[in-house]
Amino acid sequence: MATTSPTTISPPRAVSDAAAWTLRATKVYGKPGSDNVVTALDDVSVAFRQGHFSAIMGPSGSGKSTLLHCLAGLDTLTSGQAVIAGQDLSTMSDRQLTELRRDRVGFVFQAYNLVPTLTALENITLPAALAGRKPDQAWLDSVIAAVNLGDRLSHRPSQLSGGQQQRVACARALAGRPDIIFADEPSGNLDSRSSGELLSFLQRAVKELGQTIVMVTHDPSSAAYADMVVFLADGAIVDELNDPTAEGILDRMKDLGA
Amino acid sequence: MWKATKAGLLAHKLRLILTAFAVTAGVGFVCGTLVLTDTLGATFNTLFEEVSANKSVIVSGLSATGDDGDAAAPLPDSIIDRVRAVPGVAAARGDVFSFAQIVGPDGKPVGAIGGAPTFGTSYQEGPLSSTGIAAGRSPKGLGEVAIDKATARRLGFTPGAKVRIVTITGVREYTLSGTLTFGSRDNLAGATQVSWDLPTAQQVLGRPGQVDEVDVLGQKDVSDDELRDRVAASLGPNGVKVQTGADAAAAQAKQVKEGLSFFNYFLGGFAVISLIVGSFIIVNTFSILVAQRTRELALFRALGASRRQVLGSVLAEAAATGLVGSVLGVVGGVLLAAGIKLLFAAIGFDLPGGFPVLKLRTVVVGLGIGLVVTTAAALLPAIRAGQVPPVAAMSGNAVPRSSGLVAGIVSRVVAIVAGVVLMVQGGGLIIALGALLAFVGVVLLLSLLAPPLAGVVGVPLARTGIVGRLGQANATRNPRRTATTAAALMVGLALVGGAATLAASSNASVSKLIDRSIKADFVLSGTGFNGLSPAVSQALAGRPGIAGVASVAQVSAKVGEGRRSFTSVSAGATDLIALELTSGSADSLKKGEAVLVSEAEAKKRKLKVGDRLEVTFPKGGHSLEVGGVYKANQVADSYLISADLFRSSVPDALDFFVFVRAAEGQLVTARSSIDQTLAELPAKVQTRKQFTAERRQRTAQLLSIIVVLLVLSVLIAVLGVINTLALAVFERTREIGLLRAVGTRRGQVARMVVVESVVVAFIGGVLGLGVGVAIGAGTVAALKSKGLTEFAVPIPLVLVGLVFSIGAGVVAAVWPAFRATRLNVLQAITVE
Repeated sequence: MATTSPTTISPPRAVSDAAAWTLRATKVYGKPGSDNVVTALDDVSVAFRQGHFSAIMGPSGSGKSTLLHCLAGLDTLTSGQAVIAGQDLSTMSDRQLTELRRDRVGFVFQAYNLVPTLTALENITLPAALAGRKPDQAWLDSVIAAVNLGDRLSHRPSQLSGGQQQRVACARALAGRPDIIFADEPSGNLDSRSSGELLSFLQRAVKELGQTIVMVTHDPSSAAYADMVVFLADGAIVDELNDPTAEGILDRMKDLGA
Repeated sequence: MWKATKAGLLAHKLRLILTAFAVTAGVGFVCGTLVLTDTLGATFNTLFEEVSANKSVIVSGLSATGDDGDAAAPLPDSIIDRVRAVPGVAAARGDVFSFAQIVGPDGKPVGAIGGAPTFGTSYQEGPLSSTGIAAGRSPKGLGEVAIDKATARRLGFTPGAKVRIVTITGVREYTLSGTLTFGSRDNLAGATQVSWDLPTAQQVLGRPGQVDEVDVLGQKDVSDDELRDRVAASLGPNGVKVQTGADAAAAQAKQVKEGLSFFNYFLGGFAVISLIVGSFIIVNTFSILVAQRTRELALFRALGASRRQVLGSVLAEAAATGLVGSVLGVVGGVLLAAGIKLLFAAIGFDLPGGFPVLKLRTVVVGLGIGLVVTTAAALLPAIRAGQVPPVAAMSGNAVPRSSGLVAGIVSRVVAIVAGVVLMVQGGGLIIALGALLAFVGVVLLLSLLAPPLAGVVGVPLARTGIVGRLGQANATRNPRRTATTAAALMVGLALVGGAATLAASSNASVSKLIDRSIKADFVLSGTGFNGLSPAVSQALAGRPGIAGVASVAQVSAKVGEGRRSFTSVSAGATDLIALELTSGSADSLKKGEAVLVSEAEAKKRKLKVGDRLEVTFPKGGHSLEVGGVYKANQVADSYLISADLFRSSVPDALDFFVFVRAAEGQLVTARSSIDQTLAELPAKVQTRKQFTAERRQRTAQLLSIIVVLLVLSVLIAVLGVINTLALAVFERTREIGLLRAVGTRRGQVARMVVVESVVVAFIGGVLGLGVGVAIGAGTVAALKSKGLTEFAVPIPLVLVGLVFSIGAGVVAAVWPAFRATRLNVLQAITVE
């Protein structure tokens, strides 16, 4: 088990290799000066490498979801920078952020991933349709084949199992060939078998299809599917682990007192 | 439980207000009607009380038919002395009333305002007079006249001016001696009044040696009732009506109020429609609320709240909503009545003082109706709320109940068919009931057909891309909700469609009938509801270029126990009304005591040529010989008599129309003859084409008033669409958050809501207008025998209606769409 020394990568050196990174990202909730100020992210600088499967871990309230939301353009930083594909999110309008999420980012949430009125296929091609684009048919076919959903494409979400729904969500995230995919506890609602299938699929998407995935999770065995794990506590990066195993992650978590 | 209800209400103030508005319009119409009725009642009561204030007893003639509604026959003026001789009488005077029309400075006849009469009477000073002189002096002799101050002001006449006046005896020029006031008023509820001294009035109004009324002032020690009895006893029972001044005032006020009661039916009808539309919205809103709160309600049940408490909490919320809406409605009703008064004032029909009359009864009725309608409409959702099982608190989903689709469709189709059968077979109230039944059937059927319909309607929108597809899908995801929302819109548009179809069909029928049954080149008529002096037709006869003149009038008379309308036409001019006889001869009318009978009436009463028919006209009974039987005719309904008989049997026998036919190829000469005559005796002259056009225009005006009022019910329905959409947006917070997260722009979210709204509104529009045209067709079929022979679809109005419903959908979506775009994405997707 090897630990890599720089837990923070100074941007100028890392940019060439990073799909997304933050510089001194700080997120504070509540009115400054009032009693209930919560600092969710405290001066976080982190980079996620292209073509890698990264996991963000940490106990509840550590700021891992906030980091994901701010990186994905769903939330805005109080100060600092968040950059995707070389674009500084803090300088972008709501419309630009929306189009960035549509065109450059893929999402897999824990639940409620799909629009109930659309079929599985319509859900998969939703971002392309919103942009008024025809999806890349060859790529789409390979994604659908990879998630093994061929016979379920005309079904509505309510007719699919939880695991199938999450696979549809993954297919949607992949369909647009985004610069980066953010997954927020993607297997959190699944049984262990479906969970394993889904995570191996994500792993394959990185290895075989060359995608970049950043996943938030609190489960060490899920994080073990990633190439690299970043540990967060109290809004700050406290550690990083390359090529992790479940045991190694568990040890590290114990050290963090979670 | 109550605390929870209260907290819930306060948390959703806007929704509460929107839902409350659903009952506001209905309650407003109800209260407006009541306020207007009370106000008009009070106005006319005071008006006639003032006019009769100083009259102890009034003696008047009686119609030979014995009915108060018929024109009374005048009394010989010798009766005045007989009344004066009655012990206890301090003073008595005779008075006359008849048609008198002022000719304006522009040479045109001056109409009264708002359909009020134009009449002439005598001016007499003394204790019995309620009329005063505002400027100048009282009129004396044949050369002088006084007119009411309001009309004098309107026409710019001042004392000394020359004024021409048309009466039943012809036209004359007078010098204006002065202007008249009536207590504090400048006119009597819009009427134009002309006064001469009594002998002049008797002469020019066609009452030589006659009076219409004797006003009596009693001595101080005799009560009015006592005096009335004494006068009645002294005069005997024959053809004389004796009333106290107070009773006469009350009777007159009642008559005027009855005349205006159509207005109440009109507003009352809209009250009912608004309440129906409003209750649809309440049912819908509360159903959605209950569905959304299933979990919360189940939690209450799990914590020990009884079914009754849960049901009660929903009903309490409904009652609170109803109360807010009703209070606003009462206020709105007063404003509506005040607005109508302003409208009256704007057209010169000034209703004096005491406005508006808001009785406690109005407030109680308004609030009562609002509360009852709201709680009744919320009852079904409330019962459903009570049935939420406590276990739903865990699962979060109530089990949706479904009924058999086929049984549903069959029962609804049966209702529609039954309704249509009633409409075609029945008459009057049965037709209305049939229409209602068919309508309810269609609304219920709609809830079953909404999803496929939304599918069809939404297809073109779905084709426009994913946003359209999402909107269309949202419109179909909850069929019952879509159906109820669309149905609210449908009610108003169905009535618009029905009214428009009736109007179009009526126009087509009238045009056709006028073309077929009026063979005149020109039609002359009076102003407003006033008739035309018989002097006009007399003056026209035999002028150069004129081949035929027919004066046409109508009177209601007694035949046996029933009443029938008798049309009169100049004998020998029956060809101008295209009369076709199946037996007998039209010339028989020249005999005077003769009548022609329509085929239908002849069949009904088993009459044939040579039979005698006993008829009582206002001036007395006649035994008329049946001279012929004619085919159904637009001008003559059941019976036709000669104009001469009409004039001798009806007091103040004014003509309704004068039909003029030009001699062959002498249209221009005829027109100039008419113009010359009318320069002396003003009347309105129209070519046949203009006459038809005016009829059409009147129908169009009536239709536009109806449409304006119905649009209000459509606006209420739009409130319902807003409400449903806003609740749906709230319900789909999570989904909208997801859409935004994966890259849906704000504008796209807004468009999605607009598409949903337009699909719902368009379904309401298409079905509403379709049902409306169908109802119109049914009514036309039912009224075929009453002269509605043609069926016409008002295509432009239907198209406007469809565009309007799309517009209504867009407008309704504005606020919910705005809410949807303002949704915080992060909060939406992290909501548990």
